[in-house]
Amino acid sequence: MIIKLFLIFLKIGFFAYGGGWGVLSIIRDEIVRVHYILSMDDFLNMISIAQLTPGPIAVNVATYTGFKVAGFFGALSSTIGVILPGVLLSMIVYAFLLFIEKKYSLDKLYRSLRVGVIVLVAYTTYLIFTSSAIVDYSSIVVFVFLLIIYFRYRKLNPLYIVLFGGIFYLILKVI
Amino acid sequence: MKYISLFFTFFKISGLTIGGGYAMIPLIEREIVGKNIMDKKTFLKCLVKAQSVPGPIAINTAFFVGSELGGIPLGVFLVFSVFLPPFITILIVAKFLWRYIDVPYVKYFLVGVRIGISVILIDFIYRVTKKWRLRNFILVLFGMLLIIFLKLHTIYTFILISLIYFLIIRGEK
Repeated sequence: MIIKLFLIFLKIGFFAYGGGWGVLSIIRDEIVRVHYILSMDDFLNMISIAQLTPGPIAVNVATYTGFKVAGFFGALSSTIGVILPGVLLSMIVYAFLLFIEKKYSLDKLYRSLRVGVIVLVAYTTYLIFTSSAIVDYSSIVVFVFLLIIYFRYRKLNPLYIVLFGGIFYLILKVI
Repeated sequence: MKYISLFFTFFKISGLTIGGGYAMIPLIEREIVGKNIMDKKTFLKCLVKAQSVPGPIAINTAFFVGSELGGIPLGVFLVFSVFLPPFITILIVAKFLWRYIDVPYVKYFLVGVRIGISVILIDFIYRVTKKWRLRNFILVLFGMLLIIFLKLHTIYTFILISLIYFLIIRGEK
């Protein structure tokens, strides 16, 4: 199991372009849909926890998944799996990028990858939105309210939006 | 001595920054460029390289900053300093706090947090795609349809969409 976790997250790590939010949709495919390691509920809760704790989101989710399935060493192998491709490729880039960039223009490749990443981020957004923001009237109220605030006060720290969303929805559900 | 202090700089930033890897970058810049450990130009080069490879951006940035300052061993050393704080935090959460996850109050709070996250993500997509041409939107929509209705694996979709876009723009100047 520990080796399987390592390999799954190694594969995820290779496609972890452009920040954690896009990767989440790949992680969901691999650990919820293909390998049945976590339930969707567990996965969604993990996203919330990941946003409220320090560290890259992909790292948080890998650590949690590994721990849940195989304890400490599961956590270790998953987390190393998800960061290893990046670190190894970084070493190659560190050694060769200047040489490669002199010969080929990589600009178009990066632009293409960014479009691919937006598909993944859009899908993550779709998953979170449909499973959390439109589940009942209270959630829709909170969603519209947060959207207005966030688009009015562009400089607001995202952390406040997240915390405020949590507290606001909790209050609406309790009263 | 320099290595140890760099280790703690990254350890501190990683352990105290909430909100994912991108939130860490300005703080790393403040510590590294602001305290004259590295000049701004070199730091920006590190950042570009960090984004050109897969993996968490904060981890890759730590690697390139470390490599620039003390070779690949220091790069790997700093990767550990970014890796450790979230790793330890999640272990603690998973071991001691997860049992409260089904308490209704906690559950509601976490749903509300995700409502906040979806707002942040919508804003993120809006900002990235503001100046996009129509063909990009069509391509993204096409990718979404493949994932949602044809249940195509996200990795294949990612490769397919990136490839199609690459073929489209290949001939342009």
